[in-house]
Amino acid sequence: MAAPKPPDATPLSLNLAPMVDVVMCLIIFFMLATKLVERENLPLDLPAASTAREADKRELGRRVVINVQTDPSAPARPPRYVIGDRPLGLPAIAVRLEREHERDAQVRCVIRAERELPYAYVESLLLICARTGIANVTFGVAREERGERP
Amino acid sequence: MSRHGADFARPRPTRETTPNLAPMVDVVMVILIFFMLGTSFAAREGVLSMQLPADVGPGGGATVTISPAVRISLQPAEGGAGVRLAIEGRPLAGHGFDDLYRYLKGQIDRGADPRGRVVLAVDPTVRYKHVIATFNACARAGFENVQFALSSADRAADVSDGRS
Repeated sequence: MAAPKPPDATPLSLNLAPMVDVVMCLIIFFMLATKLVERENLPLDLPAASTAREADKRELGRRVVINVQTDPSAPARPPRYVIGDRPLGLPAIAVRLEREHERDAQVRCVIRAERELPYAYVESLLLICARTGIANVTFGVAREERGERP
Repeated sequence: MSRHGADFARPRPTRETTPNLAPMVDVVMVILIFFMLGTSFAAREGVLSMQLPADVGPGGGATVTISPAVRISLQPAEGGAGVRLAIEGRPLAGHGFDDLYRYLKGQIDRGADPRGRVVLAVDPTVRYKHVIATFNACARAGFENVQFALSSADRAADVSDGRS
């Protein structure tokens, strides 16, 4: 008597190619989207403040983020002011802030400056804010707990 | 003969199936590295907010007398690396921002209005980190209205000439 034959085996093959395609599309999407969001913040060595609130972008509302960045290859030279990814001079920044203030009187100026810079470079921005009528000024800082001594 | 008799008669060859996980692992590793790098940039940043007075600007109104609750001045220390703090023109007893915090907290405890104006008068050569540390000490003590005394002249050019 012949032994019973095993049931028919269904051929299975897991096709991962479509999933890889979709995941690659997602990665590209998130990389581009993240660059759009983060572009306003350059990587800077910010000063620390333990009382700083979390940077909630919805709470900040309409804003102009000004980065004050030292050129690492020439630290003795004056820093450059960058809005978005465009370096601008102070007169151009004044024009930009004036235009933003005309569009929205509650616009906020976010100043992100490197910790070792002389205050004068930040004061120039505060002066422009005062002259253009922008009252909402915010400093971007690092939220780390550490003591600072003069 | 049963309905499936023909199937039993012609068995199909069996095939071993193993899903190829290598591409998925590659993709997941890329995602992991991407988010690890992205998160490290965004995690620890915060903000300190202030309001510039509304009575300045082009064609500003009448001159306003500012009477701050506390006026703190920052001057560069000898050698230029540190900072000297003075309150109402008198050098701060102590040598650090913790001493400033204790002084300001004492003012609050003695009944100073936390919404009163604290004005920082900063020498242009003082390091920005010391300005933020002063601002932070005021906020820690409970003062909510920290402002800056601004010179009408742009002093950045003077500083850039004098930087080492």
